[in-house]
Amino acid sequence: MHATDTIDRRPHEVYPLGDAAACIDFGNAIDRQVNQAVHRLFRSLTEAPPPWVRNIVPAYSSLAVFYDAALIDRIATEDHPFAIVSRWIESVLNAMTHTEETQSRLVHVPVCYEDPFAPDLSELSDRCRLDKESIIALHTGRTYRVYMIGFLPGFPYLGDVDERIAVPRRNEPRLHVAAGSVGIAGCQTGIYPVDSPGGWQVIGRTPLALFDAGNSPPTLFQPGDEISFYSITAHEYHHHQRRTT
Amino acid sequence: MSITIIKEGLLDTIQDGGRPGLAHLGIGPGGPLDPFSARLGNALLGNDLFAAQLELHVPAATLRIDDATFLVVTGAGQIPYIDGREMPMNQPFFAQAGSSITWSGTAGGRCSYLSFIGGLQADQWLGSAATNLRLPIPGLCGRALRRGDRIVFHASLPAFRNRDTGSVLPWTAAPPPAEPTPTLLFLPGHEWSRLPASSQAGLAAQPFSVTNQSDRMGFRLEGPAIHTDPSIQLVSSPVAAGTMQLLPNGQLIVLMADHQTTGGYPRVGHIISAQLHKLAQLPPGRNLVFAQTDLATADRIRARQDGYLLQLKNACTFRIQTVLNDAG
Repeated sequence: MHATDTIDRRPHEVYPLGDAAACIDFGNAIDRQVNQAVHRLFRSLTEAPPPWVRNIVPAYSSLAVFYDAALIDRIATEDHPFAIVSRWIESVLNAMTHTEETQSRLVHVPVCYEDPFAPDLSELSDRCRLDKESIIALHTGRTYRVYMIGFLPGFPYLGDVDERIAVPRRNEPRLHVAAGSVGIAGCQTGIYPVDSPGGWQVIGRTPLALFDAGNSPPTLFQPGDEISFYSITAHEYHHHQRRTT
Repeated sequence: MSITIIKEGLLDTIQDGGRPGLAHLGIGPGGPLDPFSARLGNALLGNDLFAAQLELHVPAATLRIDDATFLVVTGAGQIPYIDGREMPMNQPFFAQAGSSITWSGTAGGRCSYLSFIGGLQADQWLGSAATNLRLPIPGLCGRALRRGDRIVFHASLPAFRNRDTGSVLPWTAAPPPAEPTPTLLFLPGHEWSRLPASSQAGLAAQPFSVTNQSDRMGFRLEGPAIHTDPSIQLVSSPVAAGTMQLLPNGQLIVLMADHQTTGGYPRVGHIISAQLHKLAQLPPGRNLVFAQTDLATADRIRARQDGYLLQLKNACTFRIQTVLNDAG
């Protein structure tokens, strides 16, 4: 319990992200515990946000609150908008109870690691001096955390990838990466929700829809979720696709 | 009550105040590229400042007005013509059912806003009609307007049989003054202090130009290369409209309405929100200069702009009501 305390009380700064957002930063790090602190703060801030809050965006080790400055001007004239927003963030941070480690949702994600869904798997195999089966075993062998969602609607930044397969982005980004593609970029792994240009090393594809405009929320993943991958065959991939379309 | 797209333009979309509350899912708020001109159009008709309207790039779509309405064109894209007659910008005018709106020439910028009395009643997705081309969704929230699209507007007007198409209402707004080389005020970003003094000075001293790699997501600028410590490795963090990101090649990209929600490039600065509209209207090749400011100044300029638009809207709401009452 005291250990958690020190995480949330860890040094941080709150700085303006332009004149319409305040960013609280716990240090430039990809770190599970720091990110858990970010998401605890995210959940606390979203419980009863003031009317001037437009967006709250958690990232790896920082979080931004976007505010409607004109609305703040109208209802709280005693100080500048940024000062009021910073004070709100600090007060929520200070009032957080640190006893519980909130349950994360665990989502199981099927991935077909076969051709043609895995255009970079062979190169990865050469580079890492591991056969494809070992790479798949390493990729499916652990639970990942959704550190944040960004880049594209519903794109999860997942970590941490086993360092034996943590290869950097491609030198030449692809102009077209298909929706569902599962990629690796350094210690991160991620899934493209929609067709997009992209530079991550693509090692497989999931038949799951990561974005559905008719769902609420429209994205499959939420920041702070846990994800585990399991391997499926091309036959199972197509079967799954047929079932859902 | 509707309008119909007769001939599609290059990039014409429906915009409103945007779609807040989803950025944690990677879905930014979006909204008009030039938020000042967009609100100015609504203000001139006494609309809610964020009522749905059309953002029309060059060349703009030809439209048919299916039912009588008052409308206004703001911004700096093309000049409107109604049934072949040139209309002023920033002054509301009347259109009878069946009239058509075409466009010609240019007001020197990138896009114009066409606003309708009462606002458009377009399909919404999660509380907003704003089109975001990054959204993989069906309908007008996820794509540009095409030939044949029909968009409904709210207001049903009393009979104006004697009013001529193209007749203007007796009020107008002064457009923002044209600056040959606009000065954009920016607030230092979190990574500003990591730039060497020479790069900080260069950013304020020399002009930058807008490249043709500029769209609703971001504007790439070309200017003196800005050097930073290459050993700085940043993890992705939140970004905002107006954020000036430093790319690895030493050039800047400024994030615009449909920007990504997070980014990993150094955030060297943020253009103040009350001036982002100036950049939004700069076509490729045009120059701009940056000048550093502080948050108190940014707040003051924004509050002044917000106050101006709100006052204008209130005044026009009253005047429009008078016009409508006189007709009835």
